[in-house]
Amino acid sequence: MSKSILRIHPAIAFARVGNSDDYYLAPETMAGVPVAGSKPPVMGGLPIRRGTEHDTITDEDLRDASGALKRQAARFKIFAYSEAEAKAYPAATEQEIRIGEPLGDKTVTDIIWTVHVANKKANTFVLEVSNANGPVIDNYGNGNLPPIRNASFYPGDEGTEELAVLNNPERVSRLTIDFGPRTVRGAGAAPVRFDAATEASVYSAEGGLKALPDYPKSWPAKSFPDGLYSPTGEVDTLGHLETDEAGRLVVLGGYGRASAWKQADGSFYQLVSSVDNDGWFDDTSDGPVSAVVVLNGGLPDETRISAGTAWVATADPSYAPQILNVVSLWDEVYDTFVRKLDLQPEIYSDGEYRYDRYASFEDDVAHIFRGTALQEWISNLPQPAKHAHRAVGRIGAETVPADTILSGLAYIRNPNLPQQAMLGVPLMPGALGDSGQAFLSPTLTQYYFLTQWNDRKCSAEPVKPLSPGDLLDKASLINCLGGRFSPGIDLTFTVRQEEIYVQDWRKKEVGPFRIAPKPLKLDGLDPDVPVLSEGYVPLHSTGEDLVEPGDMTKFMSVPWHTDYNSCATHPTSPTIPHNTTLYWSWPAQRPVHVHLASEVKDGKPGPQRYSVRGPGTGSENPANQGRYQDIENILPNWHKIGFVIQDSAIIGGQRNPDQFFEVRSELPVDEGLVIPPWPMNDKSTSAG
Amino acid sequence: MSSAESQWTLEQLQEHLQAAVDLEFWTIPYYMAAAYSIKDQGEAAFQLILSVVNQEMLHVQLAANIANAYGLKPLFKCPVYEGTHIPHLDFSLDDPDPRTLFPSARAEIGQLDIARLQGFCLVEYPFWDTGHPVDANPDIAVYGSIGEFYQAVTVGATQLKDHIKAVNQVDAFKRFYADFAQPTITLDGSDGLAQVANLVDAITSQGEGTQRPAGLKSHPKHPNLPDIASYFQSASNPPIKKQFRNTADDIEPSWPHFEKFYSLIQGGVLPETYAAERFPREGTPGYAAQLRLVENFTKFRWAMTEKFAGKQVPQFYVHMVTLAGNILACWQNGAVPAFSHHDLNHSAQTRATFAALESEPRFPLAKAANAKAAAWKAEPATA
Repeated sequence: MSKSILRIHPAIAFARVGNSDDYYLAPETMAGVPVAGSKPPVMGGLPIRRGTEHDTITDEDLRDASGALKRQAARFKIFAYSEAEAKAYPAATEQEIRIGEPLGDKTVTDIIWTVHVANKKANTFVLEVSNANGPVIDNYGNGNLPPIRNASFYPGDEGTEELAVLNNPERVSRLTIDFGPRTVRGAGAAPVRFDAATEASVYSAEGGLKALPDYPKSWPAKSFPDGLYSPTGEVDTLGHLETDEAGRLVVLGGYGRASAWKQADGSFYQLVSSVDNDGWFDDTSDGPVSAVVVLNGGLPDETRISAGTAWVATADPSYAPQILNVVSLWDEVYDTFVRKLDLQPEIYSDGEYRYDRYASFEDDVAHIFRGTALQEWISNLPQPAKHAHRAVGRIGAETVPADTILSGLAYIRNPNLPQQAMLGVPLMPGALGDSGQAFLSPTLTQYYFLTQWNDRKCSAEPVKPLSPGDLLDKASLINCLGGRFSPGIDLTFTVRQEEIYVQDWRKKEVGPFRIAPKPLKLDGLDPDVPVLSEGYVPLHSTGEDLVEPGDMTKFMSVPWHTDYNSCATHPTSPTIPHNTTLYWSWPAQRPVHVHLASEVKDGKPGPQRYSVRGPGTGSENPANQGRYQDIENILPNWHKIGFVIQDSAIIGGQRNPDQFFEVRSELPVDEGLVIPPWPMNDKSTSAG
Repeated sequence: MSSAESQWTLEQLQEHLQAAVDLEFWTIPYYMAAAYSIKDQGEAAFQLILSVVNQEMLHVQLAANIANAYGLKPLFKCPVYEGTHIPHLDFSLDDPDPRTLFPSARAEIGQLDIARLQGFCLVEYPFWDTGHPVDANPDIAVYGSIGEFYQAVTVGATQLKDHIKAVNQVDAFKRFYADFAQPTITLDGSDGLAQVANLVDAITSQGEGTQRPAGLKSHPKHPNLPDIASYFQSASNPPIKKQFRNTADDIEPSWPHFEKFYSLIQGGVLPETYAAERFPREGTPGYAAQLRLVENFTKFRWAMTEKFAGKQVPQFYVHMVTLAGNILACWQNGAVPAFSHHDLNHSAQTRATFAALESEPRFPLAKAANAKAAAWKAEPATA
């Protein structure tokens, strides 16, 4: 019998909504990093064609034949580790686990996957708290809690405290979308749907699969039988599971739909907020993934090995998949593990960074520089800033730091000096900051690595390279947004809370970056009593294994569309006296200003256009431009937004890997609209 | 001789305009080095001084635009920072002499301290309207204050308005001054004079604020001097004119330079700065940082000369932006920033190398295009 330890990767993976039944697979390479051997040369971050190992998509793969936006599926793989390696990070893998292939002296005959996703956005706390001007997490501190969403929706007594309201079974049932867990097994398995018609099931050590016919499913139409307003289709599914020919898990999310229920006066709820809309559902979700690998199935020596757990979340489409965030979700999760969960004591231990340790340029530093250089393709940087950003992008492993534009880290906002969060240009990153911070700062660990680089304590290559499993973890997270969690796009501020993770990540089948699923009671189910509850509450939930399905995405905007629409450019928050300058929110994840592939002339980019454009998006005030003025208009239009991808991935393009253009937008172009370069000012107020 | 009686030649005006460029350019390393000596850029002192640095870059552009309009392609010569000498300003010509208020002023490059702040205040010291015509002496480009200097320039510029030609105009800061309608000269001859006057107005308004109102109070300790504090705290004293205020990144966009600097003196407590020595030994990291700064600043000066001569300069902005890092690296390595080989404790061989670099332009300014420069970078590994 093999003594290998099995783990699922990515530890946290992302599916993305689309309004097509068709899909492509989530990228397994890192945005900004050239993909070795690619012809024509492409950078990482591009999704993968359905049914292939790693063939990346082109512009022709973004939409189906009808023009609908394809969904992004999350693909999970299982890797084997030796016991010694499993306690380390990075950890070298022995092999990937595929059905039909050997593992030690046995053969992998089956992989049984269990996934349970849910959507709890309607039954949780608000994100925007009146008069709160600090980080979102502060709203949960000192025993406090923010107000709740849908506060008027409570069938019980008034005066009940918030957590009791949120845990009221009737409220949970009616405001949570939960079709229960699903299992899928074998190679090439047909879709198993998260919907009302499909039976819930879980893995059982006895029989392999256990049906849960009495699982208390809940979904909008069941909760509100008197009708829903669903402008692009009713929220009636959270996606499906299937497997590929090697038995890997493929998870699809929803279709980007949103549904509103009726208010007491019989009218449907309207969209009134960027992030907290009472009376609305969307079809994003999240939840745990687990797997059991069957060796020599059906034979006397059949063996089953748990591969532990991972997590899947369904989020907004990735409209600029190759544009790297300067502060990514990876940087946030990694920083949390380094500083709070003893990931690499050679970097950080006893509350201090180890400044005698050399950083790896490629693994620790380069992505910050590459992300910087890519910003010009999704924001209206002025020409001098473009030159400066490109100079950052040219910094290589062999470049002497003191010879560079970042010498002395003169332009890097120092997260160790909190008042620098209020300082704009020339400090970088040049984007808006986290809740309570005017400007974005690198994480403490990013700044540590930059310091090592600046002090020439940086080697070209890592001491120990990332294994394929480690790389999947990193690629999945680095292609997502970090830093500005207000609330964000993929996941949000709770990724900084160490209690959401499996603390002892060195345990056999765990591994780092694993969200700790809460064990659910699935025996003796009552169809009218919800299995889920409010679940994880930051700074309030205690113990281990705290996170239920839906607990990660419930802290995001409901519906996600309104926040995406809103977050183009804003003034700073907190405001800076005398300053009305606008900055970008999440340009790498929510492109603001783009060059159209159709307007390239002689190989050169044409004028910049708003990514969100067309009727209803104009405003005299630059602070409101590039978005729908009536936020409800984002619902029928989100899937028309184009994608920014590398020219070398555009069929019929110039194949210039140095340029990134918008493709496959279905939004009209106002050729007379000129977008001036930054800086631009909010015209609704005047500087003193 | 009154301004009305002086007759300027074009050469005399050009000499003044070169002096204007010299003076504006001189302030940039002087202020910038002090700003980056502050350990935390979050300090108000850093932000205020950097905002002045940014505006001085605008002033350089404006002065150079005027120079080009009068047929002079300005040179960006190596500034010298010695003793109390501020180029083209002789405070003994000002009456009363402002050095009484700022007796500790020093003109050397150094950490932000009271000597530097007093020096900054002297440079930006307001021009007090005595009610008499400015002594606009076309023969000598030395005046008692910047305001007086520019008033003299205005006299010569007005006399020679027919020479104005809209050539080699640079507008690099347009988006940072949304209300500054015309920072370049676009009209020839006398039609362009109002534009010239507007640029001069921008420089003096941003630097000193507007002239004092009549009836300014006397300084409580120095009866012959104006009370600076009451000048700026007076509601009747307008700050920078609205059209010349920074609209993008200035924490006090209505404050003239003098007010920003003087507020720091009044604040009393200065922020923590890096400790440094002026002449670190050759081979030390501090010395290496100084070499890099001298190299890049020299290239930047050449780039400025080329840019304001109407040429395309590769990597111009990269050289410009990198200066801050070069300066900070000096402080971080215990060395006072050095901007020319005059400021270095170097060997004869190094001196010769620098002299060669400073005497001939090397373009394009791509990295490591210069073998001599590469040799300077030899430094011991810090690891």
